[in-house]
Amino acid sequence: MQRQGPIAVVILSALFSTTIFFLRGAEDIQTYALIVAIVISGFALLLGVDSLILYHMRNIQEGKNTLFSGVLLISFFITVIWGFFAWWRYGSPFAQDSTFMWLFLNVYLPLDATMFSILAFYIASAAYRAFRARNFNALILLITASVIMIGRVLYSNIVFPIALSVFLLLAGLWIFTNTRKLYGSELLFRRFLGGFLMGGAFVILLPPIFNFLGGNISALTDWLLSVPQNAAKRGIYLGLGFGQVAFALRIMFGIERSWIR
Amino acid sequence: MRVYYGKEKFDTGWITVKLENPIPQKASVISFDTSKTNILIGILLFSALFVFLLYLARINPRLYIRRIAGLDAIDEAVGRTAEMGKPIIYTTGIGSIDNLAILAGLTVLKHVTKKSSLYEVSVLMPNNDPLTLAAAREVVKEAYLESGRPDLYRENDIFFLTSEQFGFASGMSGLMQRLRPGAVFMMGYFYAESLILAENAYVSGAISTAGTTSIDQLPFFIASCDHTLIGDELYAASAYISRNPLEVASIKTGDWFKALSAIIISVGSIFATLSIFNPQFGEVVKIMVNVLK
Repeated sequence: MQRQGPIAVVILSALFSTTIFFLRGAEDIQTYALIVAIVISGFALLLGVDSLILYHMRNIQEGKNTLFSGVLLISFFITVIWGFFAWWRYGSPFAQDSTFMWLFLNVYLPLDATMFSILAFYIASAAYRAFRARNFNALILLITASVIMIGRVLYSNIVFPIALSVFLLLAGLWIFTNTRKLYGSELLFRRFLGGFLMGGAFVILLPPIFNFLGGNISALTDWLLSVPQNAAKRGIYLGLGFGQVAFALRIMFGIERSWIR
Repeated sequence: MRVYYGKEKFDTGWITVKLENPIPQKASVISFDTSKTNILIGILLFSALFVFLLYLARINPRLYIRRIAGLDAIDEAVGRTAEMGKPIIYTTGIGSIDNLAILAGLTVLKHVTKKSSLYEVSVLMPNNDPLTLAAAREVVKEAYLESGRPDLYRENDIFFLTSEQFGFASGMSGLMQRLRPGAVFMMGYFYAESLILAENAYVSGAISTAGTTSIDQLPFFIASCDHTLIGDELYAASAYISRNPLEVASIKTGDWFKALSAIIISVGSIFATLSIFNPQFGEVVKIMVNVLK
């Protein structure tokens, strides 16, 4: 019964929600069900607070990360007491002239913004690892990402041809000079390819080609985002949709029970 | 332009107030919403196919599903963690138990806990939501019971961190840096904090395995993690792990529908392309769109 009870509740709730979804004029029932869910999660927060306090109290008792746990508990109780005080004094902790708002604006928001800003460095670090041209797929990723990044910046019509020219010049130079253990026709081909790429780097700088490339970078970026990227995204969306329905049916039919004890 | 009803009528150009009385009354009669007929037909078809494949699965339990590398790597990650004598950190990300991705994450948690109980590796799970916390505790307790090691269960290993997004990211990062876990599993739903978690897992030297249904965060996981479950692979995880024929049947149903969609999209694309030469093909595309819309 310990297992059947919750499963029966899940099946009935799922059937109820599905039926309501297909009915016109039953929006109030749906809103009421949502309010019930919000009330339940409000009470569940007490469970979270209980876990948080116990976890850090135990850490302090065991001498593990005492400083961190101590700072957390002190900050937690100060915030709660301050919040209740502001509620009593100003009617709401978030009232315009409330001192709690000072805490919120000068402590919480800067901390939150700091964590968000750190993302920029993590993106750079992840991009460095992802964009290394280890194989052909990674090379395509590198080229596409470079085109998109350049296409999205200011003056991309000037930056793109110059960047392409520099890339070809460096690639050509590397191919031209990196000829160890190459002889005869292989060496000749390598030298020709390097020279060809270096020549191409200068051809790009000719005004008609420069203007053509610069003028079309924006269109190329838009095409990359709206066609190949969108196609892949929609494929994943489609799979997700069917996966969700299949998973929901498994739960509704009581086949999937690993979420319950 | 907005239209309102009142006792005096006036018109400012962008707000029009009409005389009250013709205020539309709410329909009090509950009736079937005909605009959702196509969704109902789709769900009924899906359910019918699901029941049919369930029947097939009962007859022949050896249904094939393709290999999912990220799930195969769980054993390797747990084994490595055991060798290092470190804990495993597991998170279902941000969101409550009503999110299917988090439920799917909990099913993988059970498998990871069972595996880790074989080597007596502890599984730490910081939570962002109290309801998920309660469910996770039940899942872990059940996993230890099923593997015959209820003594390994410690309630304090599954704890509440914070419900704030970046507070959670910060707490998780600190935990990874201090504990240097052997493996980090991120299976559930994630927002902007995904990259912070994945990069910290990398820096801490852990084997990182991620799985999410959040398409915007998938590229970050693919770039930063050792293994990634892409999209619906997370939903397929429990079936893949358990190999329960009934669960595998539901995965098969999704695959059949994906194949059907691919056929419809291909036919539509061919007709749409042909409509450049002959407009009559465009009419066929319009009919297809109207039927599916």
